[in-house]
Amino acid sequence: MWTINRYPGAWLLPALLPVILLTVYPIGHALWTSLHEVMILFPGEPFVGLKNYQRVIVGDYFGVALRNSLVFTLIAAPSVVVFGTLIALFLQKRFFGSQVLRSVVLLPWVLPGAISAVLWVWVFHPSFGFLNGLMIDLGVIDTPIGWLTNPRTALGAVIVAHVWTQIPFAVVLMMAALSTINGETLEAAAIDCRSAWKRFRYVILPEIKSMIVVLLVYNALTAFTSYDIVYAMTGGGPGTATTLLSFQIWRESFSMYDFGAGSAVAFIVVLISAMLIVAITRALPSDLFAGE
Amino acid sequence: MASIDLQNIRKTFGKVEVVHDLSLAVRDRELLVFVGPSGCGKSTLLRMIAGLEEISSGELRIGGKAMNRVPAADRGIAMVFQSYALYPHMTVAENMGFALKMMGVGKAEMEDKVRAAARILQLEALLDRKPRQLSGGQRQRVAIGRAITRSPDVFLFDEPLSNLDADLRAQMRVEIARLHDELKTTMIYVTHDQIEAMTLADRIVILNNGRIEQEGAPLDLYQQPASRFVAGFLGQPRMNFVPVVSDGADLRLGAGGPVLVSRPLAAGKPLELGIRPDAIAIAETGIPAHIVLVERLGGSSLVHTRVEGLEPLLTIELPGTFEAATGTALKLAFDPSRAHVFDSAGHAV
Repeated sequence: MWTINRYPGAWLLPALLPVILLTVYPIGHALWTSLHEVMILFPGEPFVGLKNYQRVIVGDYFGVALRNSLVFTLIAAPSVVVFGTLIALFLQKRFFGSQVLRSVVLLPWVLPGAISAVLWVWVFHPSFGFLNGLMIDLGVIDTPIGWLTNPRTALGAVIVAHVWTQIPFAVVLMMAALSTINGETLEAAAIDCRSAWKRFRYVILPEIKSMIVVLLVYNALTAFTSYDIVYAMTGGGPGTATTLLSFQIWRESFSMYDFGAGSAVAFIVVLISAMLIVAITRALPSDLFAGE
Repeated sequence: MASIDLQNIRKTFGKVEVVHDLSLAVRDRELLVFVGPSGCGKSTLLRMIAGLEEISSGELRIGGKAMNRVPAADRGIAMVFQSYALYPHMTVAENMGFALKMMGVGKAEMEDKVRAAARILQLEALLDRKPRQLSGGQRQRVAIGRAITRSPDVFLFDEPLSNLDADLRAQMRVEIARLHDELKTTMIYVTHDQIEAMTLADRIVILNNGRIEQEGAPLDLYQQPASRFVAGFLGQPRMNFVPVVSDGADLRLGAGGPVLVSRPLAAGKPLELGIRPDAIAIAETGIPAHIVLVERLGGSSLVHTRVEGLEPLLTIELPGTFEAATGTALKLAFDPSRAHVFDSAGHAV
């Protein structure tokens, strides 16, 4: 009586239950919350339709946060991929100390976000910061710059910190992709073509293209939903200079105690993320993942 | 078309020297084969000529021009690799035309050259395929085609047939020999397979431990090996080696043993007699032996025999029609002109 054919659904439960409990239910609950007025200070949770969405979109912060998040994503994601690829190409070479360097490059990966943030706060610090010290010593600037307190530099500074934390993962995946290329194929290319750039362009790039796409999608999502490092470095400031959408979710929910509005922002983030993925994958040739 | 000169070439990896002070002249339009066991330095030598490996010291000249510091792409060479090393995302035609495209050759000329090479190698029907859609033999033909389209001064082959099965290997061997006849270009071919070396080479260079053991025409090396190493390396089935002593006039098996060959040599020194399996015959009179095992290959049979007082078995190559059971007693005779004698250092005496 316990055959698989008789109760197929029951046999799927061990796999389905965790998914339902940990993914479907929270998302469903957030969707429900975004359509209701859920405020801790007021009793009752009346259905309000899309009113929460309407309110957050016309609100003061939303436009700024959306712009910041898009700028953050459009700069951070390609930067991570470009630097990750360059570093991976460099680390592929064997030279004295290359093994040690490979381990060092992974360090930012093992640091928790908050610690990376503290580290970068010190780098950008106006009085004691490494960057100001270096630039003054080199004579580039006369007076220290308040990188994190100046609205014009703050977003750039947090992007640098974020990119730094994300590079190791990109390096690891890219090195894996590079290592699958046949060494003799690269040697054949060295005989066929003198220019290292052309060899990269025509022989290596086509082989790592799919990994670049994977990294681009992954990093676009990571950047668009990034929260910890920005919160720890600037708290969204100065003013709204580094307020991201993810930060706005937190502000609506836990600062304003308006969970309906917070969930609405969260769903808008999900929607834009989905559009980002579709846009990136659409922009690429259709045969990318075909074959081998 | 070019000659290649290697002068006092050395290669060291860290503290280990793998090629020792090697000098060699490769003649224009010659098909030269580097052959030797694994780790003898033959591939390293080829890669130094190609420019894929730095030359630690010594001078390399191709067509009279010093090449030590010239990048691989500018040496006028083309190389065929063991793993084919095709560009996986390019079609056969793109693979074959890639070097020309990188040199800035016009599209029309490139297509002409690709088509010409494809015709030589019967690849015309496959020009639009990707490498993954080809068999091993086809891939290697594309790799050779890629080398041909460049019209190089020198072709380098690094064990190109090692990944192919036996049938295909024999077939490709013929194709490469035919190609050399047709193109009349200098070719250097690396292999560990002595049959490839014997059948393809104008001249063989036998390498051992980073040194040239002997060089010469295939049959010269086969008939007059300068050392025990060369004698043992070339020839299938392998040469028989027998420890012998000389009494000044005859080579005897042991002090009081039977005379194997008459040859005047200094008495008393330990020597080794080398005799190929096809140089031993069954005779009316001779050294008594008995059959231990018969390996029937069809066309011929390898008869392993034991001679009284002799540690190694003697292998004799006889026609496939030879019939005899294990244990049968025989008398063996040598062709003295085909017997080789080596001293304790392995040099031919």
